[in-house]
Amino acid sequence: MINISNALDNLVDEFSKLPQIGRKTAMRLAMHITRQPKQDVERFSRALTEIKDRLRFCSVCCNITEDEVCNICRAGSRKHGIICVVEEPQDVFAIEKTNEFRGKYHVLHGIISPLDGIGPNDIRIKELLDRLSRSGDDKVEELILALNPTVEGETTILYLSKLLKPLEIKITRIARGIPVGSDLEFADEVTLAKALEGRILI
Amino acid sequence: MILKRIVLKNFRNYSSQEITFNDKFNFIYGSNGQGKTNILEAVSYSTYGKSFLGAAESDCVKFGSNEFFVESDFINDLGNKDFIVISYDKLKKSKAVHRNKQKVNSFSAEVFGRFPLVFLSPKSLNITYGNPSDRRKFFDILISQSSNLYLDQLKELAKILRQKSALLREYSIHKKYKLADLKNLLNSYNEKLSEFSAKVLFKRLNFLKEFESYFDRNFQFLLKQDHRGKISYYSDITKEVFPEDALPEREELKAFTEKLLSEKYEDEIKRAVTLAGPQRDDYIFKLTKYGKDLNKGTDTFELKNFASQGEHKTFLLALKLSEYDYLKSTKSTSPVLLLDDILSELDEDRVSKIISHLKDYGQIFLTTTDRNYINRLKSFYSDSEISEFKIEEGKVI
Ligand SMILES: [Zn+2]
Repeated sequence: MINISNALDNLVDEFSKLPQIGRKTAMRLAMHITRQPKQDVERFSRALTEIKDRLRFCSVCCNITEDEVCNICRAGSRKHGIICVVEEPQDVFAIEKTNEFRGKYHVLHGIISPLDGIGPNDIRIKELLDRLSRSGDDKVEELILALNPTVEGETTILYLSKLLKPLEIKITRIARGIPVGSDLEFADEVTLAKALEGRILI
Repeated sequence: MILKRIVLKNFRNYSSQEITFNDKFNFIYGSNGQGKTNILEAVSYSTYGKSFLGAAESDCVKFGSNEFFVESDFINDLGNKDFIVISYDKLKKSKAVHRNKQKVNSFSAEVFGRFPLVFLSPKSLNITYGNPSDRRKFFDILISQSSNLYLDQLKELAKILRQKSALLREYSIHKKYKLADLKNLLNSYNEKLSEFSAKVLFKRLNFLKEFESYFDRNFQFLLKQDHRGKISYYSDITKEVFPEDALPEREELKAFTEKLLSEKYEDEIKRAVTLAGPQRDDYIFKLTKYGKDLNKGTDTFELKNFASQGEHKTFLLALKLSEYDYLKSTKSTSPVLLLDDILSELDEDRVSKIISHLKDYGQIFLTTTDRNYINRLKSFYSDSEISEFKIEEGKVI
């Protein structure tokens, strides 16, 4: 293939490193950039570097923040005694949108998956342990494991519950079932069967 | 449900071909390599969503073109029409399914769950001659057709096993985990493995109990009265289980699996492989011959080691016939039966016996190189119940 421009190749390479971007899409994005006015491109590139300069991980909950400690961890109005453990920062946004949870979070930044080479040391489990053992006065009473109901999520839940057992903290996990707004008759049979299996006594 | 008409475009060696099928029997003949099986493959696309031979979509696109179409007209029991188009674009690597000109999900259970498909080809002999994995595959597909939940459980089980193997490998080869972490994680995977092994085993054993009644009847039908065929299930977890045994409950199966996994625990770590679970199980096919003199007792032996070719074939046909019966009863509709080039392999008498048995049910599609076989069929079917198609170089002539 004829090499038109090293700079273009470079940009295409960088775009194609992004999740779910193939070579073709990367090329389309790069071409789009070449057609943009210079100040737009500069703004874009500033936004990229700024996010690396300004964003960091909260020293308490590991969520992304611009400060040493994030807004949620600093908020006096939120319960200290209850921590919701999630896989990714976007899960925090999802739970926050419900306006129903008044405790704090811990973001693992991943999930245990030996197939992908991700073990306990590759996600923020050590930070969680430190946090639980040093919490002094505001002792953590309950840990909610809000992980996805996949094989990886389920085994991470089992791993954590074994690991945390000596700390004698109440550990719960979120229930799975039929999505709200969908009638029973339209739920797919696998979801329905699993919801039946996880039924609770009333 | 009847497949009335099919149109193949750029499918295998067909450029463009319309075929109107018979409601009962479709006799497809021609020399080897002309495209007989390709018609069955197209039928399997229209009813089942994929190739019954397990071929990739890209292999079904005609050489020199980029996209195949399989269009099919169905008529259901109420007389309503259903028009299904399946297409595959080789360049975009995308498959599309349209039902009555509306795009639907390409795995749509609404379209493909409706028609059970039973096929018999020379390759089917793997079920009795082949490895445990061939037998597990045969039964897993069969059970999955009546239970999506089972299919889901199989997938989860496979995922757990892959993760567990990766964990053991990473530990022994890359020393990635501390021993405490390894043990905690291994216990976690084993816990999930016990749960899902129990689910899968429970389903397989209960299925076999139901399947056995069909199998027994069909085996009797195909073979002399002094022979019995039997299927048992072998697992390290339960040892050999016969369908007539009192079947263990799911909780017991879970406890058995836990026990076995704990026995293998150190060995699994040392050897860095998984050593227990339903992925190692087998269905055992046995034959019992009763002596002419009842007092002389019986002779029971395993098909795999001691049976003749003829006994293998009878067993296979009884399995396939039972598959047909099982699907017919669980799906409450007659399966489509594809018989691909089996006359030479499975002797005509037994095949004729099956056809005479099934003729009152669903549609049958048969391919053969032997034109004369149609005369045999005409003793079961009237002229209007049978259509013949001669295939030559990707054309019906
Ligand atoms: Zn925080």
